[in-house]
Amino acid sequence: MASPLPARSTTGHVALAHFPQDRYGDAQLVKDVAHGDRDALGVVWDRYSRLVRGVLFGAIGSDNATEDLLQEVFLAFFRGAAQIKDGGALRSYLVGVAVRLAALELRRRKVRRWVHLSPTGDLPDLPVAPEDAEGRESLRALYRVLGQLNSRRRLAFVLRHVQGLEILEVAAALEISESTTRRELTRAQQQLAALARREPALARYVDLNDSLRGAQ
Amino acid sequence: MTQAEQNLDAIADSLGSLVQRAAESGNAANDQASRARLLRRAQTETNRVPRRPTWHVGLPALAVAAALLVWWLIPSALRYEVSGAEKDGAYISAPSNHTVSVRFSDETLVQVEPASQLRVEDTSRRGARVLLERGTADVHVVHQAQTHWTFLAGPFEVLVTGTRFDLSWDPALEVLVLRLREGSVEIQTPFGAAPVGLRGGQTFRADLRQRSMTTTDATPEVSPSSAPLGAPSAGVPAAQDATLSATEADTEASSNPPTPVLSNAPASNAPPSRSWSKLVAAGDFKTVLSQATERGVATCLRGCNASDLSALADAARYTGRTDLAEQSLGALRARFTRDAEGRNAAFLLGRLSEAQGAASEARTWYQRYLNEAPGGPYAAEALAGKMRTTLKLQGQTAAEPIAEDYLRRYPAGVQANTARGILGSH
Repeated sequence: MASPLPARSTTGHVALAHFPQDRYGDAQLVKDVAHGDRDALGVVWDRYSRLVRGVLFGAIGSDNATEDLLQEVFLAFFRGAAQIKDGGALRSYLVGVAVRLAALELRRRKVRRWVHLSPTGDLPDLPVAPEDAEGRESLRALYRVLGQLNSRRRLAFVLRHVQGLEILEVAAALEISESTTRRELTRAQQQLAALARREPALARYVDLNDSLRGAQ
Repeated sequence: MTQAEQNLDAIADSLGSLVQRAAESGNAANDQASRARLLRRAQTETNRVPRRPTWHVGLPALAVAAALLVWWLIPSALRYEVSGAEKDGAYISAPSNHTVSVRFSDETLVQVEPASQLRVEDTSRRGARVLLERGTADVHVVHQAQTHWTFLAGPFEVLVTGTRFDLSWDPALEVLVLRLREGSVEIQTPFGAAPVGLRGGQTFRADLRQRSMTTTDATPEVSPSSAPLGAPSAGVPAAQDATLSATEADTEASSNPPTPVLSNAPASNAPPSRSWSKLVAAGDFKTVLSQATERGVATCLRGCNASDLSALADAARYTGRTDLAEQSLGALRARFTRDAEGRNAAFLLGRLSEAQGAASEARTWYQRYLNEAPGGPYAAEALAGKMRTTLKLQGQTAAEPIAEDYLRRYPAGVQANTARGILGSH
């Protein structure tokens, strides 16, 4: 799983610190982190923070909580690295932790809405390029729709259709069977398509695929 | 899979790609800062808890730790009150039109400038850990026995005992400025193991992208807006120019010496009492902004000379006032196209656009700068920006010729590794 490229930030420029470990496999990195090696933790961050951030972003949207949870995922790994038996499954481990924390956060937000701590429950502005007003509106609409899915379906959608994980990986992250995962994904897709058709800002995403089907 | 199922799958995929694109353009700018924060927190945990205690030393250590914990907990940790904004957990976000005060129970005061954000990560009875996420904080730490305050900004860590200072951090541009008015601080930087010591009256500036740091004793005579960040400031009297940058940055900076500001513009009708470029160099951004507001921003955009407009743009950038920065740079472009400030403004507009995720617009500005100032002070950075934005917009194949060009011109440049990564030759 080691990348042939140097550790790189998502801003496109090469990270300031380079460590010999950046060519190590996941299993070795997990061992190093288990011994308290912060450099190894940095390499794990370079390798997987983008994936984990994507999972969290898809699940709860972009606000301060996303970055906090991102930190928590990697800190949980740092604390628990010694307990990980299969270091080669680091990617699945991190996705699993991210999913559990995202699910907790979604639950917490639901409670906050019930007790009116958050008056609207609306998500804050989402970081789409400023010139893309249409994209921003579409994204808001999509999060409104996602908000109507239960946590498991929402997370299944994010893992499969945002992060492109295999069904087995989605099942492992959600800690459910493969067949249940398929069922949940199908229901999530049906629910999403139905709800998205009611959102004008999402019409083009739904209509495009409808028209493609018609053309076939 | 039936056709209906395929269609549902395709709809979900296209909706998923919408989220994916937004995630890509999201908090990427903060990645280095988040990484540094994680490593700091991991270090803190390592210090607090031995990871593999053995039983024969573990039990006594546990007893000592428990005793220390009791000793630590009995005197209560500092409390704080926020005036001027709603507190959301540990987050404090100042609105764009006024300052927010955070007063701690030991009388330490942190004034959060408009549009700035910080969070109080942790408090103890001796101090607190405060993370400045963006913008400027005016800090007055009250000195007491064994005071222990830490201010974090991106990958930088400022260790404080008792002092007054202004701290600014721009996560988009990855520039930190600390103006120390009283006392002394130590700054732990990502560039080296040894912390940088600072005493009263000094200003410290670090640019993460340029991998440079500069400490000055006195107010520089040259506007930093015209000189590459981190390059030694020509004409700085009694300055302790400590450019501690990595060799790559030095190579680039030395091949592009800074250009002194030569203002050809007519003087303003109401010149500021003290040069804005001097105020910016001293880290006093808020005075520049308040004077600009007093004079009328529109008036200044129409009438200020190039040096003042550059300083205003810098002050706005460093305090997160992107809109004002864009207006000032736009005015420089409109009124001083043929001057160095006007040309530099093209590059800075590119940086601003890129930081906001507008890659196409950023690339246009970088290209414009390269056309107008092929040997200019920001030529290497502009070419690197063009390479990054092309990679983002058109992919690796389109970025390869630019990466080759970059390596040919700047083989030891800051972005050389990125260029090699694009060419697959690292």
